[in-house]
Amino acid sequence: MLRHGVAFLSLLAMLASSEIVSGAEDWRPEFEDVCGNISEAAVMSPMELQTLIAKGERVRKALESEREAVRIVYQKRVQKCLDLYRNIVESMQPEAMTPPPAQ
Amino acid sequence: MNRVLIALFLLVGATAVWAQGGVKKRRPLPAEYGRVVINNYSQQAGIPPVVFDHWSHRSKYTCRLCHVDIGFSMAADATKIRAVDNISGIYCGTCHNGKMMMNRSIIFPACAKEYTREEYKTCVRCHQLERNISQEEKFASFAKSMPPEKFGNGINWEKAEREGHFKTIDYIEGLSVTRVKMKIPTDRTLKAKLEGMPNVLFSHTKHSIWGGCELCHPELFSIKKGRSVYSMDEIFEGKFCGACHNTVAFPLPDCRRCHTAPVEG
Repeated sequence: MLRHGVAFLSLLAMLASSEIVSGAEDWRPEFEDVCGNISEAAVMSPMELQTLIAKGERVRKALESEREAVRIVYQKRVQKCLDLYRNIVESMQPEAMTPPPAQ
Repeated sequence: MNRVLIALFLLVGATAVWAQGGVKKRRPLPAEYGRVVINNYSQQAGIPPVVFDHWSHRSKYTCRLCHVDIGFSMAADATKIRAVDNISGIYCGTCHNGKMMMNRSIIFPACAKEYTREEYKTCVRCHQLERNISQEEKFASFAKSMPPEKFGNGINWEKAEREGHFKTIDYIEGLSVTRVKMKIPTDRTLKAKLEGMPNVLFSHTKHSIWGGCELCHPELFSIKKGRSVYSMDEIFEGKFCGACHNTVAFPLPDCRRCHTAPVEG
């Protein structure tokens, strides 16, 4: 009985640790996808840029569970990429027309 | 009466000079240009502050690698680097981990939390209490082989890079992101506001080698046309071009490095 209990607990511990390992840096592929497109961003369509922005926001949220230093470094990195994409999208939009002065 | 007036005049003058900041700032020596003293936690931990000379890393790594991928802030003391971060492989510890190689030798490790008398000798390579003569000698020997320049470090870094005096690393495995080759935007002419002052020929090519895109856009310069309007005063205050060109890159008194377009008329 005791042996079964120990085996069960070991199995639980293994499952838990494997989840931790597999959960570590799950955001990394998406992060690479977001920031790996920086050098092409200027020739991307607004739609493509919006997709990257949405992905980047997911990465930012996923980073919340990381330890402090990793979170700070990578959130700053992803923020830089997002800021650039947003700035390019903004630069594609025509200047808003200034309303005529009130009569 | 005259004496009183003269004394009053001198007193007012001296007060005005003092109010404006008084003493003229000493121009740094070539070896000191780009030096940053980092002292967020060092002295609390009973160790001297870190004296970081940009020149020692500039010939090895791009600005982008350290200020984007590794995450060092562009403002001194803003990163809040802790020994524990370095030990866990963040910030300085990304390379200073006792494993990474540079020019076939191992890069010395960052300080451990506890260290022996022997290990302390490694700590003081960065945590410096006194003037570091060996670092000054290293600079002199390094600068000797580089194309000279009047200002800053006395090195024309742009020419040195172009002529292949060194090759900078822009990628660290496991840290940097693989990128497609950059389509570099065309160079631009920026109109000088002052009459008779040559316009600025801005080279995206030269800047993107060191900084990539995201180091400057949009934090320093918006991509949207007409959005980034700035003056020389603001640049001297450390904004826009002044974020790098007065701290690490060639300094602002070297006007002719940017204002290079022929004057019209």
